[in-house]
Amino acid sequence: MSELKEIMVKGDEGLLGEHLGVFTARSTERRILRVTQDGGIVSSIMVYGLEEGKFDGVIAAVADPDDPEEPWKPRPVVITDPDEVLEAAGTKYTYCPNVSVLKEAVRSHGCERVAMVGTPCQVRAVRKAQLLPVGMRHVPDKIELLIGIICMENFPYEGLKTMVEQLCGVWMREVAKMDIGKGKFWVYTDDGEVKSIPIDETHPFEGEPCHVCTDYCAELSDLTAGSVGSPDGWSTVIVRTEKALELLEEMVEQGLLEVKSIEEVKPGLGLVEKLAQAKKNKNQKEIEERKELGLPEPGKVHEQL
Amino acid sequence: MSEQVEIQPTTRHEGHGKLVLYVDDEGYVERAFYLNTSAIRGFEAMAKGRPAEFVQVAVMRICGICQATHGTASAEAFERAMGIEPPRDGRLLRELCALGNRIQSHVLHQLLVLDDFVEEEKEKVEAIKRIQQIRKIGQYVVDVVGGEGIHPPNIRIGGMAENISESARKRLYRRLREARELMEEQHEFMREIVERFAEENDLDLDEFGRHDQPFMATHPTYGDPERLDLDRVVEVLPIEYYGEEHKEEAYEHNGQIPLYDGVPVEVGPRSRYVVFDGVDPRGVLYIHILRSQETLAAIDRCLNILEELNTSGKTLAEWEPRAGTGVGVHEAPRGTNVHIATVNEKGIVEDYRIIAASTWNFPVVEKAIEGEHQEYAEVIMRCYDI
Ligand SMILES: Cc1cc2nc3c(=O)[nH]c(=O)nc-3n(C[C@H](O)[C@H](O)[C@H](O)COP(=O)(O)OP(=O)(O)OC[C@H]3O[C@@H](n4cnc5c(N)ncnc54)[C@H](O)[C@@H]3O)c2cc1C
Ligand code: SF4
Repeated sequence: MSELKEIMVKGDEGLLGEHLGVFTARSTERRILRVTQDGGIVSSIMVYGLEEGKFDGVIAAVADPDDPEEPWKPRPVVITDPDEVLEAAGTKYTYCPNVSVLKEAVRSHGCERVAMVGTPCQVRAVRKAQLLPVGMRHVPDKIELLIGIICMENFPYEGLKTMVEQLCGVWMREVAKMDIGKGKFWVYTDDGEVKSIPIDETHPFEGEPCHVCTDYCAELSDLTAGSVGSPDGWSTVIVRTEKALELLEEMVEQGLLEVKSIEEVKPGLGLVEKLAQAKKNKNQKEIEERKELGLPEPGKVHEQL
Repeated sequence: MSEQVEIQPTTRHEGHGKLVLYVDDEGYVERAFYLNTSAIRGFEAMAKGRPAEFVQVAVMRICGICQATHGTASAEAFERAMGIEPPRDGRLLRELCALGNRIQSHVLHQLLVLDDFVEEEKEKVEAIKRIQQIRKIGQYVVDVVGGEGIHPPNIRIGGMAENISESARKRLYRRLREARELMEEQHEFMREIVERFAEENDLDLDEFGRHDQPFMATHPTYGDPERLDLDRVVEVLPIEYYGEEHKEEAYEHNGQIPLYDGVPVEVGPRSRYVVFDGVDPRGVLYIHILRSQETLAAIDRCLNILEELNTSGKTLAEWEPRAGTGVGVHEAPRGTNVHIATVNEKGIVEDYRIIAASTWNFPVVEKAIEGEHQEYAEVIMRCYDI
């Protein structure tokens, strides 16, 4: 049995989505860990996949902190050169329409094996497109891997800007990294300053669609990465498909990933499940309330047509 | 004494048509009418009062098989009307996109005419497989360069919305090389079956389906309005063309009939060879061979374009609307496709005219059929890809 299979454990599929197993991991490469959000799992997979020819294009979110107009506003990009993957590393806490360039990846970039990273809603969108490829001709079979990222909520750009500039008192262009963890929204500046606000204060700035979203762990991905459950600098990885498992096993074998059982670390899988449950409860309630008002149920709009 | 024969609908071609033939006692055609029975859809009227950007996209819907040519001719017309100069790489990509379409459309026609020439099942199946492989590559070119195989959205006023990546360029090059090999085989095959058909039916290749109309073409692979003198073009109503004595036929022909110097002219692959290579193959069956040869040439031109293309070059010019009239001409698979646009200073279309490629050839088909035996009427009609 592979090292990975030995340490993987299973959690509650009702909360995490179907999966083969969960573990904790981080990249072994410093150049990756220096720029990535957590354990650099997403970026490592992209670099490895492109280098090995498993993917011929990856879709990620690039933001320019020095953009004079809209610093940190991400735009989706198709990356075909492994050296460019790290330019997209790190979490941007605002919507970035990664799915919008999927077709372009297959068309003008001529990609035949695409990997995409996305929030749970984006992963869902792609799966829907694979089922019913309206406007996505020739795309479904070109998707090699869908990497999900755990997501509790997201913020429209103006909302994020208000949080950073007005609540944290930092100019967007001075921000080096943003993070959510331990009940707070954190901003790290280029000068090494750290500012934070309680997560409760960010709620008013959340995007509306996030309030009816019950998918925390990107349940339809091939694999999902997130920070929750693992120690700082490590990522929680949920593996769902054989294809993803094989890829991760290879990476472990080649020494590209360091892995641990999630049972050995704190806070552990329990927290992932707790937060998944919390998101489902809270947003299901919102859905019920909207239904009572006669508003359509997300994802079921077609049934009322 | 002549007898009247009707063939409706004519089959195994892309459009909709009807043949009315007046034949003599031995079955030879004395007078032929090839009538366009496609319903009038009113694109020209629909364009009026709408923004140029909308019209350029909408007119691609004129045809489900060769949309690239309409998108291109329209973009060219608007660019000339408003003084827009697309960047070099945009222009190259646009040519490439439409050539991808030419490749697939040309061989698709070879598939449709297969039954005219081949009886043996195995031979047919092999040809169909080869044709579909070539079509797939042609469509792949349109997919990648145009952004979508059908109604390619990257064709825009000002150039092309996007360049292709370096890896896409390499991939296209490889696939087109594959297409070239297949097409060489296919070309050989077309020549063989046409010659065999002539021999078996005792037809003189140089005389069969001959007509004496002039040939018109503006460019071997793209389109050039400089080579089309619009003052010499008239579009007449079928009733004007056929006259009162044939009003029954005239009323069944939808659309106008374009004439050059007052007479019907042939457009399409043969015309492009006649005008640009100086050959003069009069027998109608040669069109099949030349269409096939032109597919090879289209593949070669695609490969050239890919060599010339700078994949990091700009492809779309920025532009502001301004009043003017412009003529856009593109050599569609079926021939010279003309769009004429007049816009006001806000870029709203005030007048729009389209002379689609096939419309030129309708009256020419009649001339080619006349004098031949009625049993070949459809075979001759299908030499033209209408
Ligand atoms: C809006 C948002 C909310 C999140 N919420 C949580 C959470 O509640 N709990 C949790 O555990 N983890 C959450 N994450 C995930 C977490 O921040 C990390 O992205 C994840 O742990 C992967 O880390 P990594 O080091 O492997 O990523 P990296 O190697 O740094 O790669 C991250 C990848 O995600 C892409 N990306 C960044 N921002 C976006 C975006 N907005 N849209 C689409 N793609 C993007 C990047 O381009 C990059 O390729 C969230 C992420 C986002 C974008
Ligand atoms: S909370 Fe749901 S809707 Fe909002 S960004 Fe995350 S996955 Fe998308």
